Amino acid sequence: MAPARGARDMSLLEVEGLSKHFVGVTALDGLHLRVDAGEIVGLIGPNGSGKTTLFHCIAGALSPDHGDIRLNGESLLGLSPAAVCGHGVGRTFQLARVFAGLTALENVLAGQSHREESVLAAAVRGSAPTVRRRARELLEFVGLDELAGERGGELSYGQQRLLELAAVLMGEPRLILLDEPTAGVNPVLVDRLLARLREINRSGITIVLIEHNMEAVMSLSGRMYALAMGRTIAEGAPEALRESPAVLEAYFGAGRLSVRR
Amino acid sequence: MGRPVRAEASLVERAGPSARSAALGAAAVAVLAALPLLVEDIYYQHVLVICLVYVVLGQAWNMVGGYAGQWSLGHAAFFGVGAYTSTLLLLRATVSPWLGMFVGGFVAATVACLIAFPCFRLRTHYFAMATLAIGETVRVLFLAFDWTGGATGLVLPVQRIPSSYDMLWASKLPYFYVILAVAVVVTLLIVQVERSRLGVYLRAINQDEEAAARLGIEPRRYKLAALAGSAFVTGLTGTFYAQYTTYIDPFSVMSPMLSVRIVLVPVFGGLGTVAGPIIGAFTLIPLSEITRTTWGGRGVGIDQVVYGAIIVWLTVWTPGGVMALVRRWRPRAARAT
Repeated sequence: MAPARGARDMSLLEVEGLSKHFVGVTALDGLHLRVDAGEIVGLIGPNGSGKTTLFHCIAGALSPDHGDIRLNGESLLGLSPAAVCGHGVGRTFQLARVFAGLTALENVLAGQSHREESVLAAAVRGSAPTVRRRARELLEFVGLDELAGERGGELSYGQQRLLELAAVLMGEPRLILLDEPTAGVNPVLVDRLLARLREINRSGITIVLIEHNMEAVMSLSGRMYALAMGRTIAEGAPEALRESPAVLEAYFGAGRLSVRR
Repeated sequence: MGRPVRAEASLVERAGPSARSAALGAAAVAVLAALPLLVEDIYYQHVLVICLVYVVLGQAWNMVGGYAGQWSLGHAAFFGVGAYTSTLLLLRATVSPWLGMFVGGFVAATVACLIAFPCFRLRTHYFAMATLAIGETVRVLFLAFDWTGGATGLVLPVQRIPSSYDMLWASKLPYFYVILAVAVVVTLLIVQVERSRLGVYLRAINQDEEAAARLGIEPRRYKLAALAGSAFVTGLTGTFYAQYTTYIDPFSVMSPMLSVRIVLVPVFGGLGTVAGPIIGAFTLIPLSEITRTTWGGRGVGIDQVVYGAIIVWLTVWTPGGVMALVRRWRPRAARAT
């Protein structure tokens, strides 16, 4: 089913007819998706439905075979991951990736905006006081300010997730792509994480997230897409999607959708 | 409520070690500068000069290998290119090596950029292997070229000794002070890089290139800058070495053994630390000299075997380098930034 939205002229993110084939596998098969500024959009779908491949393509880590990806009408195709970040797209990975040997503060500082920055300027100067202050604020925001001097590798997995998020936010993105943000995070931190994500969204940052924790994704998302076999098979409000026959079939062939990871 | 107190404490912690290192560094330089005046034996002066040469080479390699994590095993090529550039300029066009050393560094940096183009597509071991191969290729080329003297090498205009214009002296002292100055400047530059944003970015790239890229750090750009800077200093040191030994050939300034010796210095002392190459050079070079003077005369390479065995033993004893040990002894709090 093609996306039923389109009343607005231009969405923040438009993915059109995206295809990606690996040897013997079709990961994406003409996928369409639109995200408007200010939304929280959830992506669900069984394993292998192409969610992570989609994120890789948007973020410039993979180049799609066909189709287009536009941010504010401007194509992101052919840009390096760093350049995509420069356009205001932040992302977290399926498994949290922080710099294990850098302190938490340095991890966040690494995420500062690199737009119009020359190597020489970076070599001559340390981070500006305002930048350092913002990094501290972000650490506080995710509740890690006490651990600013600890190495990334010494934090718990859940804390690494939060640190990764803080580093991504440091680049002042317009859109963030979160790949299973709650996976492997203990329940206490999950609540903190979800609260922070709502706050981030309220501050004007658009969020697209892949999530298997149904409770989390349904409470968070304003709208959801269900993917299967590299295509969007359903789109709509969380409650509507839960009952969608196409979704139920994709997951189980039949039955009720009540899985929680 | 507790916050201002803690912020103050961390400020003190930050100023503490850096002020202490600055004082320690200044004292070390003062002692070093006085040393050759006290030690009049030419042999010991020679060992001091070679130690400082390896401090510079180790710092330069550490920039790209230790901080950015790109293990070049071809640094001898940059060293040799620098040595040949300035020597040819001096012999053919009587350009002073004082200028030639910068030209040599620049040519070495250019070669580095050309090498980087294909090599940075490779990661970790593959990058190391590619640079090893390219280093060897450069050496073989210089063996084959006629205009570089081929296997015969080049002799500097020793008949003009002493001549400050030609950077040629009979005494070791001027050489010592030149290389000491270079070592101090290069070490201060590394300190600067470590404190700058560049240091954070290079270490980030070292640890996870994709994670750095998604934060907007273009890995290729920063790796290239690190390699070019490293090659520049290495080439410049090549010029100094040519002036010091007054004779160069592809074996002496481009051998893969030289590349390995350069890598050993920061690896032994501590990768990605300022003190690492200094500790490494002042341990490994005297050690190699001691084994050479003790067992070198036998003509069967026993000295190399002993040197190698001692390095293996030291590495087993200090995995991660001497600085890793130092860090373990230091209180945890000192690490906070």
